[in-house]
Amino acid sequence: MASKRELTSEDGNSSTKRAKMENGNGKQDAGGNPYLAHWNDDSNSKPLRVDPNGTSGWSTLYGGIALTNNRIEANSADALYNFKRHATTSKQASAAEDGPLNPFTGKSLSNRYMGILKKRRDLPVHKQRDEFLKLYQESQILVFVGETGSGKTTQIPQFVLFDDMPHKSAQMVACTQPRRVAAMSVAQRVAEEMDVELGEEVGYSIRFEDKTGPNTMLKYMTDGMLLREAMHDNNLTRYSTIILDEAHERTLATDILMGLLKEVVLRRKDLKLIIMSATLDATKFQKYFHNAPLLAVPGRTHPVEIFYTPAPERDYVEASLRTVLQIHATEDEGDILLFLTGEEEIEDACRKINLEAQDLVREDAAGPLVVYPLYGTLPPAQQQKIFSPAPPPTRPGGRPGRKVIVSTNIAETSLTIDGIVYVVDPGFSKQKVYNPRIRVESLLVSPISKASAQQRAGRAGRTRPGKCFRLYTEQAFKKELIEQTYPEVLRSNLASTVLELKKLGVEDLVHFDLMDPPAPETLMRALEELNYLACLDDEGELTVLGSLASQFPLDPALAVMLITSPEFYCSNEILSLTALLSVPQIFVRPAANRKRADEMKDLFAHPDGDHLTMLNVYHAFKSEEAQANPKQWCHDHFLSYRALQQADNVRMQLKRIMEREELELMSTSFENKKYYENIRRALVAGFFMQVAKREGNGKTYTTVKDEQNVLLHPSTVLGQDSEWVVYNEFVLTTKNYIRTVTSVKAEWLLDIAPNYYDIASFKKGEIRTALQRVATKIQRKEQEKGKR
Amino acid sequence: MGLAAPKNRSKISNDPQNTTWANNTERFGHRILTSQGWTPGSSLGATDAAHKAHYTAASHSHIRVLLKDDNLGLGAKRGSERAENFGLAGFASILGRLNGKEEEVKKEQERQEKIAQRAYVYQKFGMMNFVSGGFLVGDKIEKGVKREIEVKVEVKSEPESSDSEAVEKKSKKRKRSSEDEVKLEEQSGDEPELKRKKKSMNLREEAAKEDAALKSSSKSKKEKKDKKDKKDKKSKSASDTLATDSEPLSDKARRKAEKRARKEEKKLKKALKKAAKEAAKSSPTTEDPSSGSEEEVESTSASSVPTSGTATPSGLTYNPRGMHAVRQRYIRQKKMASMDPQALKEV
Repeated sequence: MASKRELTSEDGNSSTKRAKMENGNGKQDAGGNPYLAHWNDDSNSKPLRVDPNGTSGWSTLYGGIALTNNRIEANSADALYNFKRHATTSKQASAAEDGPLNPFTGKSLSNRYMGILKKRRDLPVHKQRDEFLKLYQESQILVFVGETGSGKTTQIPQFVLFDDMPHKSAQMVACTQPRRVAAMSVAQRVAEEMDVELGEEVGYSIRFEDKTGPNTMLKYMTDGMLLREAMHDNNLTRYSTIILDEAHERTLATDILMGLLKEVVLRRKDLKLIIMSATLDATKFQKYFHNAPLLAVPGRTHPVEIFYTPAPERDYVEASLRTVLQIHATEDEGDILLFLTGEEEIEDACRKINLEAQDLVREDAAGPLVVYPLYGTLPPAQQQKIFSPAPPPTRPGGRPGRKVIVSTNIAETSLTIDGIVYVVDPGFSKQKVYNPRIRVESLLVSPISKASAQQRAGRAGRTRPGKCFRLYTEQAFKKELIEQTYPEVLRSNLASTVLELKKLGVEDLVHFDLMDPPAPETLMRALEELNYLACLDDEGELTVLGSLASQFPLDPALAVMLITSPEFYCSNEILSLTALLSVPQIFVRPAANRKRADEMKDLFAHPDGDHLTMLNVYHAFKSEEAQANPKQWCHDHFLSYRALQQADNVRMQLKRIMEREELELMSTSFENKKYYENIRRALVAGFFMQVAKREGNGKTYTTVKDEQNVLLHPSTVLGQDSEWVVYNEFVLTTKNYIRTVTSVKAEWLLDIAPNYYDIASFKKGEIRTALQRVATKIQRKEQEKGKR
Repeated sequence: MGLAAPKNRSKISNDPQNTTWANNTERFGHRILTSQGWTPGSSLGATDAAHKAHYTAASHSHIRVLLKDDNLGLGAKRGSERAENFGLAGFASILGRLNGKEEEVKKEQERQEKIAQRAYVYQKFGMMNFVSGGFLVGDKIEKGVKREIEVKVEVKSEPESSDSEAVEKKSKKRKRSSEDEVKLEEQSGDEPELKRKKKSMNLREEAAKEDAALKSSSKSKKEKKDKKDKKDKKSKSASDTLATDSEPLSDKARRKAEKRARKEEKKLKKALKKAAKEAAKSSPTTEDPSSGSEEEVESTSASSVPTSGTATPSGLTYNPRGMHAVRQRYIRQKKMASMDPQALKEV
């Protein structure tokens, strides 16, 4: 008590002291401090900018913007005053760029800026700045094609800034990226190029992080983020220009955005749209956008010689290893990039190459060789390693060293690694496919497309003429590969997309103008799933639940589970579980230590299923014992620290949304018998469409309604004695597996999802009889109750 | 697949494509779509989209992929590989002996061993043959350049150290073998110009060899001649085998070839001398190959190891130890078993 009082009194003291200071010598302070330089410019802006109460809310903020804009104009009058919006030339812009004052902030430009500026002017896009500006000014939509390395992602938005001057109308320029990392790093780079601080004039916005401020005029963001913003502001009025970068990757969000913006530009004539793509096949984009003008900038690439094998390979992994070693032993200096399909394959290949390379070096047949893996789930620190230079020769004058990067198709478009001269391409990659009939979304190894093979080959020609070794015949290239990789919209479950579209106000889904419309069956499935989840009513209109579910960046089933969880008195637990289900696998099972890993997993195992086991893990992770040294604890228990940490982060975000939507957070007390039962029931409320029933007493299960034969995944902790299970994932291999399963009771299914488990709608068979039996049992019980 | 191949048993569901669902037109999804103006059989999307021509099949029905559960390379078909024939070779040799052809059988066995040995070296180092497919400039493959380099094979010589000389030699040999391959392919397609070029290249080699062979031992000369014969047989696909050297040729081509040959003479001489030495050391068996066995050699499939000529200097060999050795041996056995389809035919 005493201490508390002390604290408060101290607090009071200090605050008064601070106040005094400010009153006394605030002005002087500001004068000396370079970070407070802006105070001198416009004393008016000071009280607004440091408004401590924030009571005036948006109006203050807008006022702040207006004021700061005044300030900027006053400062940079010499640089931008005679710029007429959408009538500038590259000459004017260059002059403004040369300084001496930063045209956007009014501060003097640093030496580093000048250094970067020189390099920037060497980039291929810079040569066509005038041409770009002309087309940009003339037309509302522009398709821009620049190969990787042309500098389009960093330069074009800046070109736009000088012409569009969004800050004068309190708007912004948005540039979307398919990947979060790209959005972050590009924003950082551009902030450096413009000599401003990240988060001020240049910022970024990604799913769990928003680094923008009231001054922000250029915002890099993920395409998903822009889509979310469009849900609240259908006309995207905050933006004066929207740049969709990496459009050739055709992510789901980019595709939807394109369809949406195509309509928005009709409504908002002042909005400008730039579609940027890295592949030369942009005619499709042009056609799609009403024959928009096209500007192509050649990249800085060297010719790449392509080699095919004379005959098909019997084992592409082995062949690729041999090719890498052969290149290492016989070819000139230069790094190697090998494309394989998945994490396991890559790690395995790295090990083998290392082993063989050591022998080669020992025999002095080749220089030293280092191997780096590269895949999405690799920790960022390890991903960074791929940029380290190749090793030096073992002895002076010896044969030069070399580095090999074994990568998934990340390295195909998104990452640029300099120094690659040799590319080895077996012609496969892991790709997502969705089968609406059996409702399976799975990552499968399948042949790449011609376009992607060319992309891969192109990676060899970044620094000097290179070579690409394709481990298939020219015949196979021509005959077996499809022209273009299918866009994501054609290979995904569209349930959450449909929900988003409904929220975006798109009524007519059939005629929504997508660049590649999905298969009708896929859309049907999505609609039906949403209907069963009660997100859409029987007329196809968005329900209250549906509109609430669209607030969550989750799969509709997960969102519905989360929203309905308070009804089962376990929203805290379901919140944790939802977070755990939306991050990568938390259990680690290293090949060398499988037994031990399984033992550790058994520590957390719950007999009723994997969901509950995961929950146990999370609770243990949050215990004091584990939090003392979480990294070590995870390592000891064969858990992925990164995944758990990520889950923690996601949980926090979701919790914030739940609080905003006023969903109650509660738990059944752990002592209560129904603690786990409630969780399992809540699970059914979301996943009643992913239920399987055991066939007789055997090992195989049959999925409800879709009637596919499946097996429990070997990783499950569940015994074979549960008749009904919910599953999280249907894994497609030669045998069909269901992964992450928890046992449930048929009574719950009938009780919680009566619409889906309408017995009349079932086909005659084992499942129908079983459900019928349970239904009559329930009926009898109720009758007995009524009698009493 | 042999009998020992792993079995993949999987149960197929009653309705793996769930046609019950697909054919049901009473469903909610179907109803909503039709109410919005969709007709079964048509695709979604704006009514008269300008980019409709770009729609793919995946806009009509979901993407279908083949499940891939092996490491089969692109374009390779299961079962297309040569039959595995464990033990059949041994059986053949017993039969041969019983029929009183002990000599031949023995020779054949020794030859097999040599192939295996060499295969081992190649397996360790190379065996990956590549055919150039042109240059990728920008987004397109430039075919114009392509024809010229078609003959070129990926492995390049690296005149650096004594070690690399070995590489060079080997690569040259490989080049030759693949040239043959290319030739075989080319013969079916009719490209006279190319054929001539190849012929002249052949000639150049021959000429060079002739010059060099004069100086090397008679043993190797004989070998060379045999090899030459083989080559001619292939390139001409005619029966007049021994006459190639004296055959009338267009003067121009010959002169040209000789000129180029002289340029390379020095290099070749050196290499050949070394090779000859090696041959003398390592191959007592190749002493006097009868023409019959040569033909046999020739008939081994195109992708197999070149069998004639000298053994490859083993500058790059690699001595497996421990676990590694066991694995290597296993691989070698596998290779051996799958390398030679002849044994099967012979039975």
